[in-house]
Amino acid sequence: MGKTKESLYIRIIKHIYGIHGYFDEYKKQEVNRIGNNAFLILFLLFGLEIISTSFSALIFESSNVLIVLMWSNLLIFLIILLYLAFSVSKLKLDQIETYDNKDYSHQIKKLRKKCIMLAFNFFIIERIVFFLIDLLTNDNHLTILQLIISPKENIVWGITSIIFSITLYFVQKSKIKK
Amino acid sequence: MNNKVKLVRVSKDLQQKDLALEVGISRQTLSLIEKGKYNPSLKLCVNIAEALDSDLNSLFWKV
Repeated sequence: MGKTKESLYIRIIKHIYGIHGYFDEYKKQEVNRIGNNAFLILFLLFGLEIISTSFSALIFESSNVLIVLMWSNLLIFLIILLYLAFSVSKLKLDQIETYDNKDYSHQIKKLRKKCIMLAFNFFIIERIVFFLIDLLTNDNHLTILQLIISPKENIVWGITSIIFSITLYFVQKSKIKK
Repeated sequence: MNNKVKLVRVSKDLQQKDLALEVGISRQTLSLIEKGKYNPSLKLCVNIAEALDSDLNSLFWKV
C-alpha cells in the first residue's frame, strides 16, 4: 500500500491548509470540517460587508467607501487565514513526519529552500499591494516609476520579508518530528 | 472506540511508522486510532487488519 500519486485538487488543498505527508481520511475529515466553518465565517462577514457597503454608499463619498471596502476585504481574508492556521495547528495537521536522520536533514534542506522562495514571494506580493495602495492615495503626485523604485519602501519590505522568512523557518522547523 | 491495534502491532514487533507507511496513513492518524480517539472507516480497518495479518474481529470487535 505505497504512496499513490496525488491529484492536483489534493495538492492544492494540502498547500492551502499547510498539510504535509499523507492526506489520509482523518486529515480529509478535519479539513472538511475546518473548511465548512471557514465558509460560514466568510458567509457571515461578506453578508455584513455587502449590507454595510450598500448603506454607506448612500451616505458617504464612493471613493472613500471603495477604500474601506478594500481594507475590509483584506481584513476578512486575514481573519479566514488566521482561523485556518489556528485550526490546522491545533490539530497538528501541519506536522512534518520524518522517518530517520537522513529524512530529517532532507526536510530541513527543503524547508530552507521553501523559506527563501517565500521571502521572495512575500516581497513581490507586498510591493504590488502597497504599490496599488500608493497609486490610489498618491498625495505627493509621484510617477509610477518613482513609486516602484522607491528605495525606502523597497528596503523596508526587503527587511520585513527576511524577518518573515526567518520566523517562518523556525516555526516550521519546530513542526518537523523525528 | 477501544481496539487491539497497538497490542497486535507491538506483538509483531512493528513500529508505528512502519505500520503507518504500510497502510498509507500518517503516524498521527495511527496514534489516534490506537488511542481510540478516531474511528476509522471500514476500509481503513480492513487495511490495518491486512497489514497486521489479523482480522477485524480480533482487532476491533468487543475489545
